[in-house]
Amino acid sequence: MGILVVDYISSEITRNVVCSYRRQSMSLRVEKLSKSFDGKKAVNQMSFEMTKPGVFGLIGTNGAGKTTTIRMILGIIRMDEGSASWDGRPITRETMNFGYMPEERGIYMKSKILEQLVYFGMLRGMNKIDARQSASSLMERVGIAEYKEVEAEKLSKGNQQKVQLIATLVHKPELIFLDEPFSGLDPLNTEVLSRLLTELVEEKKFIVMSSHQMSTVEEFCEDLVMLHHGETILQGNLKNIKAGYGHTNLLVNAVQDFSAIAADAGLIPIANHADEVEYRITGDDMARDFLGKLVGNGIFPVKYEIREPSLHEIFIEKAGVEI
Amino acid sequence: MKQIMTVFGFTFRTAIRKKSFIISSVVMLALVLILCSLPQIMSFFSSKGIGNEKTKTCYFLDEKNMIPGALDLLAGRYTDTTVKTGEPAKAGEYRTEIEKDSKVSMIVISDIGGEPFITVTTNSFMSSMDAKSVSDLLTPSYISATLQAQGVDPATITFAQSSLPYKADVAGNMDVSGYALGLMLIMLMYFAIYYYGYGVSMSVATEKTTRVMETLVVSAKPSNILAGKCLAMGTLGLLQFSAFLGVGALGYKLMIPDNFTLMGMPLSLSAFTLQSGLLVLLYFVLGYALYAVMNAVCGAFVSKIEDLNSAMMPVVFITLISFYVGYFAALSGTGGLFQKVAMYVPFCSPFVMPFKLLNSDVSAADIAISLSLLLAAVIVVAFFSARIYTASVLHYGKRMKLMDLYRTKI
Repeated sequence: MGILVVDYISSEITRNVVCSYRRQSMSLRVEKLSKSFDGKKAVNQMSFEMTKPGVFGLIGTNGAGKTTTIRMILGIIRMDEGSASWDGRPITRETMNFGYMPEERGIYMKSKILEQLVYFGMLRGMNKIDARQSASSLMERVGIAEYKEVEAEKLSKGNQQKVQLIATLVHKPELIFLDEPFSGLDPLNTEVLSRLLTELVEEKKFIVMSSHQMSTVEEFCEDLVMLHHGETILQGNLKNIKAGYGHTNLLVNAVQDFSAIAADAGLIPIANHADEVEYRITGDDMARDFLGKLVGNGIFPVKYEIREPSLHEIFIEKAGVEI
Repeated sequence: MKQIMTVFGFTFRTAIRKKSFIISSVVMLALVLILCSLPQIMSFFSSKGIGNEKTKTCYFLDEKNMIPGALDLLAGRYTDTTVKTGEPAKAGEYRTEIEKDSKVSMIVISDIGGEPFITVTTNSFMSSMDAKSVSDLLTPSYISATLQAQGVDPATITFAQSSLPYKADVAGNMDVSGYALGLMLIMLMYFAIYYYGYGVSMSVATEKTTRVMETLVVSAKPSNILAGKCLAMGTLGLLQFSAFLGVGALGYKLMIPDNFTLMGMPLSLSAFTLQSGLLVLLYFVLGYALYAVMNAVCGAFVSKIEDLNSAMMPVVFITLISFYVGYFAALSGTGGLFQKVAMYVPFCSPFVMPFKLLNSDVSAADIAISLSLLLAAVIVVAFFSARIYTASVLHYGKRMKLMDLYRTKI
């Protein structure tokens, strides 16, 4: 009996260690993905790899190829070239447990919320009890538990979006694809979704998120691919990308007028905010010289911030367009 | 299989709760009950109801009294009519009255070459009093009186006016009951195939246009979704169908009098044997499956729900043409090349075979060939439909051609 218990504990520990190791060693690998529609390239030779849990960003304007990329990875549409694999195996609904929230939200408007979530869970192989439990728990987490028996058409747009998100997560997928998850959400629902995303990252989920809202991607993504008209114009670790650009922006706020000193120092304003001015700088030395001149003229700034370029600015520079 | 059953369960539950389904079921069940109670209603009105009240008037004009006892004969036949002897001088007034009032009529007996000539004047041709029935009623009386006047003995007169005894005896399966049942089955089969097929296409189109499909296709194989949907709507149809038949059988048992006759023949369900019942069921299942998969493809074609009817047009035409071919083949009697073709062509056989099974001796070989061809058609059409369905469920915008969809890499 004692040996049996020890064996059981030992096998449980082994399983947990193996699971943990597997999750650590899992990776999403996308290689040379290409797709054309009517002779026009929608995605061209796109490659990236996601080797650790977190949020991976696919960013670009509308029509950049983000949704097509996700659909190809998931096998919804056939790729013309390239491959996508999870843990070394092709990604199919039969071989792996992934979740997908499409950009175009779609739920059964005439059906009750819990009933349809259980249906989606069962389609992904869960039994009815587990699906019901998982759906109920997620509904609690996003704050729509009171609508279990309500038809979807009676919910607000934001709450319908939460239902769609739960449909994506109900079967507890390892790999999650979210296509424009924040699109159309009010600030309150954005906060709820942000919190849930953070929790999913803490649960070591692999999340691929597409967005044209650069600030959203900056908040969550460590690594990203930037797409423009199907071409990859930038990719890598967000911190490294920004670090590569160095300090390019200077934000100054002072009580006195300092515009003449700035012009004299060769600074060109790029934006006038409510109470501060933003300048483009060539490096830290330029910012230091300007600060010296301000102080020399008896101006002591309330705010003097040197920062890296935002993702938005990087995109504009790379793509040569405003979004 | 588990996925098919999951789709089946959800689709079935959603469809059975729909108001349109509940209302159509209640209305159809009420119609079945009304149909069963028709003999009772008819006998009520003919024996006790308005039949005994004299609501109509008929002027009888026989100036020369050419047909003795005619007034009594007419009063005995038309129990809702007061038959009065009219004045020939007022014939014009009576006619004006008839023009204004549909409840008034006039019978005039004129002397044409020494023989009576009957003219019946009514407000419209739809009046219950028609010239032929009046003539049939009064002729024996006139002949009898004429022969009597010529000295013919009463026994000879009676014999001369008697008719030979007869009875109708149908040796084949096609009696009035089987015929009526067969026609009703053709109608029901068409209704079921069209209505439940439309349900499948509507369900698919709704999922596509509301973009649920994109969530579904990453969760389940499109062919499994298609199979689950068709199965669910088919089962729903079968249940509704069974409810109609069950209530009909109960109504037949409880509400139709034992001595009720249809066109002089007793109403009976004897044509419905266990074997014919099972074969009719099989034809319903296969016929429904054949049309349901095609309807599912129509649903998958559209990007907007309002385009569904136009997308369904080709299938609706096939259904209608097949129904009429089946219907006329059924009515065209036994045998013949037209019937043979209709029995074998898979699109028509679900309509014509149930009628034939109830009304004639269809050979086992004919049944086997017809069912085999139907089954083969279901498999082939389902295979092509599943492929086109898979390619079209996520295609939005301009409608693609069938062959382009078939060739699409999926």
